Amino acid sequence: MSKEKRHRTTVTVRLTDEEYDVLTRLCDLQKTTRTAYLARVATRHAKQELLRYAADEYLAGRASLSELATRTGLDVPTIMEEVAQITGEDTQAVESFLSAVETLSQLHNDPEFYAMAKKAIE
Amino acid sequence: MRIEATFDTSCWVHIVYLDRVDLLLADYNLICTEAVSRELGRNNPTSHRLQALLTAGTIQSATPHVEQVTLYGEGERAAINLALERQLPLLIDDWRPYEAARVAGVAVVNTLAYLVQLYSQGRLTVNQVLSDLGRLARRGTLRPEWLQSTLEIVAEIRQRESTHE
Repeated sequence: MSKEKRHRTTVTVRLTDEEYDVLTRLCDLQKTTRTAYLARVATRHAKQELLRYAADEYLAGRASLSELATRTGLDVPTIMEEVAQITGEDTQAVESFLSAVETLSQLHNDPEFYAMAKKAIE
Repeated sequence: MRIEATFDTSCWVHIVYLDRVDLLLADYNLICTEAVSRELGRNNPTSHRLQALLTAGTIQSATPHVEQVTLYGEGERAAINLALERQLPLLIDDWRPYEAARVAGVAVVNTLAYLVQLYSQGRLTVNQVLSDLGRLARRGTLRPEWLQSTLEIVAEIRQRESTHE
């Protein structure tokens, strides 16, 4: 079976002597070409930056998920996963949820409501 | 009787995440726009679930013919336009397009309102609904004010039920 040929676009990168030297040394050690290395690293980094941008924009309320998917070319579940990871890193969302339950629990004189929510979220 | 409805990507992701697809399908005859399907991507559990249901014919695929609403995001635009064109309720969780749809005259529903309905119908227990709300709070992909209101409604229903007992 023949390999599908993918279209490639040439991008010229201008480096200082020092930058070129660092790049060359690493590529020699990793037995890879400078082109392959730069393409791989730049693409991976760009994807991460796009993802972070999308999550930040969404969390700041500046754009919808659909808008961000159109803008970044990422799919919506991937953006939502990144948002969930960022939110999951701080416990504020869960604390604020539980504090709302606690207030309601006291207002309705229903301590079981809070106990159940706490258990459910663990 | 099942009601015909369309949905946005955000709502589908939440429903799959909570594992409430079967309940949703029992209540709604879902129609998915191609743009929403595209926005879900190809290699994740939410898109796999949708593709399987589209292939089985459980969910129908459609494209709106007229663009009455011109939002930037392709999926939200298609879902709102299909809802307007066919007079369908729209299941949508992303608050910005949710508001845009509501202002345009679409009957909107979100995952949280649906969970409240399931709870009030006795199809979810209070433990299940609280667990779902907690999981959604942890994800941070829903407007906190919506979660707060949902909790208040759940507490009210629970209070009413206990006074009736």
